[in-house]
Amino acid sequence: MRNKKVGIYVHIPFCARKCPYCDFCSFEGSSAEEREAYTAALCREIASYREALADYTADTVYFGGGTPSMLAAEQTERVLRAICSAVPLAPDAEITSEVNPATADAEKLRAWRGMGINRLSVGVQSFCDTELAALGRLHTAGQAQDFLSLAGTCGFDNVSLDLMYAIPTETPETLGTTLSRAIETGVKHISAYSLKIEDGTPFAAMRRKLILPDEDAEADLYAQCIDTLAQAGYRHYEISNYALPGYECRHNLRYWRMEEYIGVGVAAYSFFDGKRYGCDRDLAAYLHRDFTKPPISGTPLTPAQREYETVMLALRLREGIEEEAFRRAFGYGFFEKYGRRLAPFLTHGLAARDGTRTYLTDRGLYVSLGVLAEILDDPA
Amino acid sequence: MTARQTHIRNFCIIAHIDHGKSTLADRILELTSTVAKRDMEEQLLDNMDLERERGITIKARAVRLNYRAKNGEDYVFNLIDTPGHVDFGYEVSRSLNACEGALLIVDATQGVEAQTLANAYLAIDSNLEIVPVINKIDLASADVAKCRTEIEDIIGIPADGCPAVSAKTGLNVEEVLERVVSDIPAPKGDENSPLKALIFDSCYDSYLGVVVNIRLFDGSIRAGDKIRLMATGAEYEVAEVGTMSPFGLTKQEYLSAGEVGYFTASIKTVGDTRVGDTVTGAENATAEPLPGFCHVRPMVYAGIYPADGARYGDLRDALDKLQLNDASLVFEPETSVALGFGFRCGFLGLLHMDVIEERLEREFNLDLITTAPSVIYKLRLRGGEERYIDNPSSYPSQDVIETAYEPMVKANIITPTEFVGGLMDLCQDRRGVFLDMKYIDPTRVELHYHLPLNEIIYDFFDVLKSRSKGYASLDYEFYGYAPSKLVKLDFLLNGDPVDALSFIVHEDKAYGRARRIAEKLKENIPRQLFEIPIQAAIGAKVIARETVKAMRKDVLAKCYGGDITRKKKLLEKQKEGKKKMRKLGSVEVTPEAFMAVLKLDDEK
Repeated sequence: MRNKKVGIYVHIPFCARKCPYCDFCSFEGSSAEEREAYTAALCREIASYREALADYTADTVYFGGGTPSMLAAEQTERVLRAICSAVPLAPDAEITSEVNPATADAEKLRAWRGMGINRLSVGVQSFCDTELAALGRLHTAGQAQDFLSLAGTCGFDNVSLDLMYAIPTETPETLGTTLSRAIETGVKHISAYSLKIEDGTPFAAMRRKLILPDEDAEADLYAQCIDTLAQAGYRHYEISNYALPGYECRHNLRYWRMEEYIGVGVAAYSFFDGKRYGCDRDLAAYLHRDFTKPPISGTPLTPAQREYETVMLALRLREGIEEEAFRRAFGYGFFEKYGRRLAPFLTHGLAARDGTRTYLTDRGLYVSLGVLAEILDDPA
Repeated sequence: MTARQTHIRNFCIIAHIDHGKSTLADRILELTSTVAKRDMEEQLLDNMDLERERGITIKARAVRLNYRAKNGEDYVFNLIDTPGHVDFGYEVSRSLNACEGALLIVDATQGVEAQTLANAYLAIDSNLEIVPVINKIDLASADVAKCRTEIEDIIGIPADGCPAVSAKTGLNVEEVLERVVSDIPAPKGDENSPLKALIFDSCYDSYLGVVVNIRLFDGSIRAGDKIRLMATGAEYEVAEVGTMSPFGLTKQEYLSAGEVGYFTASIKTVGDTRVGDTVTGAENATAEPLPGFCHVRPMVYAGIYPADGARYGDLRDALDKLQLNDASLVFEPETSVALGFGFRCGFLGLLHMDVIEERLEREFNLDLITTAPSVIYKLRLRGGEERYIDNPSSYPSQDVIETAYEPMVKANIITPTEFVGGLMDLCQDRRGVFLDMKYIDPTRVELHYHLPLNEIIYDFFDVLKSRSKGYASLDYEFYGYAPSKLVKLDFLLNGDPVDALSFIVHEDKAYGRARRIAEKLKENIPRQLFEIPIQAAIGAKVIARETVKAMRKDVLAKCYGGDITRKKKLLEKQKEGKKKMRKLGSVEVTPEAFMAVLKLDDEK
């Protein structure tokens, strides 16, 4: 009986060039041998889960990075095959790959589509060339546009765009241009992240030279994203994610809804069998692991930890937390327990209720850390 | 006069701040061979670190020195060091009364300053022989001739041929010592009369108890004597008598009329031995106490709180210890909604307050929050009751007050003529009443004003200095209470008053200060999840308002699988930070912002 569902995340830690703001795990200048060895290691890791996944079907697969298009189509296909041998894919599985407009061509896109990848997440970031240059991206706005039409030609009708706002030199006008051009491409899903200067990145080193919007300007840009995209029919369903109805990213929803997923590859994390565990960033060590057993480790979350994480993650979503679902999981309703703590936020319009659901409003989402710090119990 | 007396010289050194008093004292100590040069520490007489660092003398100290004069005879010098700041005026006057003469130091590059004058007048009032000494003649800008003229014209004492020295290099300092021998009279007094001695200082020693510094005018004192302190009436048996060397106490068999020394009598706190009190025999008492005793009362009050509430006990112990040596420091427990448990402390003046604060922080390693200093207001209530208020929180509501009075000082400002306009504007702005203006010489002017003390404790000195490029000097003395239109200004955050921010202010100044403080509060209070209204109010009437805008961004924009642990950490850090938050009314702020807000000063 395979009645449980799981999502599979595959991390591809290679990039043609590392972006100066990025602190995800990825390596520049990888060799063909390294990528081949990595593909093999991924397949071993996936295979090690075969028994653990006996009760499961996978309904989402997600290739992230790094730059997944750095792998040859044939390598991607081997990984996908390995997944299929370890766990059956649901017939309607969502299979996404991130892709960089500068590193994939029609041939690779057609191959991907052919092997079952049915959703693309394209790292466009901006439709303004000066901003793309400031972000150190390898493509121009025109190339991004061409790539998107190519994706359509190659059979991808479920495409997501990654955009960035609050980037150096950005104004409400340039963000407006980027948003309307994104809408014009007809993509089904848009992720829009504010640029965060991460410690240890080149941007952090030049932090003082970067002219970045202040808190108010950034909050205004955030509001601009929400308004503009809403007018075009994109629902703001998570802090940084927008989708036409029915096109929310099912894989990412698993994270926020505390559903199980397995991450394979370096720096990939899993939430499986009640436990959270992950792999470190050591690529060389990863290449030599034998994976005779699945790398499941750690102790299962306690009910208090589960509750803490559930609230923390679910309140990122516009759907918020449903009273009865919460009661089934924890024995009491969400509002029943947290209502009093939420009262000032409800009064000031940072939180709201919709029938039996409690959620943070657009304004509330953007100060969600502060709200969570007020309402959550101390971590167990 | 006994033979012993003819070879005693009791004198002090008086000067405007920074004119070189302590440096001259060092050279005198050196020359009298009391201190070998290698043992000299700069400014030995000031034995607190803080004094040395700030170049001020906080407590009067006395030393006994031996000097062989050029006439071949040996003299005993009792050098009594006096505090140079206006806050310690009473202590200065008591120290002067213990002497027959004073060295009046004038900086040859600065000339006569406000405190030179104030101290000189005090010395003249105490009938002291004044020996002017012109100092710092090693400096290029020294003008000795001009200095002599100023001393003669302004102070009215002859200065022709007075020593011109460099205390720094030691040049001509010997001449000063010869002047002490020749110009300062030896003490008089009858050894056989009943004991009559002046307490001019006392300090606490953990082994001996209080060590009382005295000047004997009549009689003698030795161990075993029963003595009485005339102002308090307390009686003690003397345990030990002696003299003070620069290195400590030297036990002596007895002290007699004309001498300066100490006694101990198992006295527990310096508060029992008031400076200015007269010591006499318990059984054989002198008829009249020495004149001039008065109870020193604090002029300035402020709340002192530990930044970390858990250190309240440490703060109390530290204040207790400081009080052992400083009878003019008073304190009593106080509680504030914002600040928790602390103390309402009374000081002689702002400098005294600064010194105490710094000593608490430095010597006792305390982190403090001090509320805005307040003076003591006098209120006549409807129904005739009179009340003194040293704390804004005990200020009654406006409708029960018939008349409010505030303490006034008579201020004496000496300034180069070019700054007169600016300083008159300043005094005007601070509600000063002009008394008169005198030209000291063609380039310098002396201004007299009546000023409210609460204007002086509120950064007056800083502004005076900045408007005169540092040249103007100030001296003031308490003058009396004058009726005034006072109001209590409260600050409300999110509708709740923050008691620690309230202060009493003249009606005409209320609006301007309310505005500035409200703005500063807005700048210093970090954004909260909701908008926070800031209001300044007199009673129920709001006279200024500002708003701390609501926080708009506090979010982790990207959060997927791998990031959950990171997000959790971020959140935990935030929750951890929340525990350290302190409350201003109903508003929670970081400890840093809390300190910034409570240390607010609307001028700086």
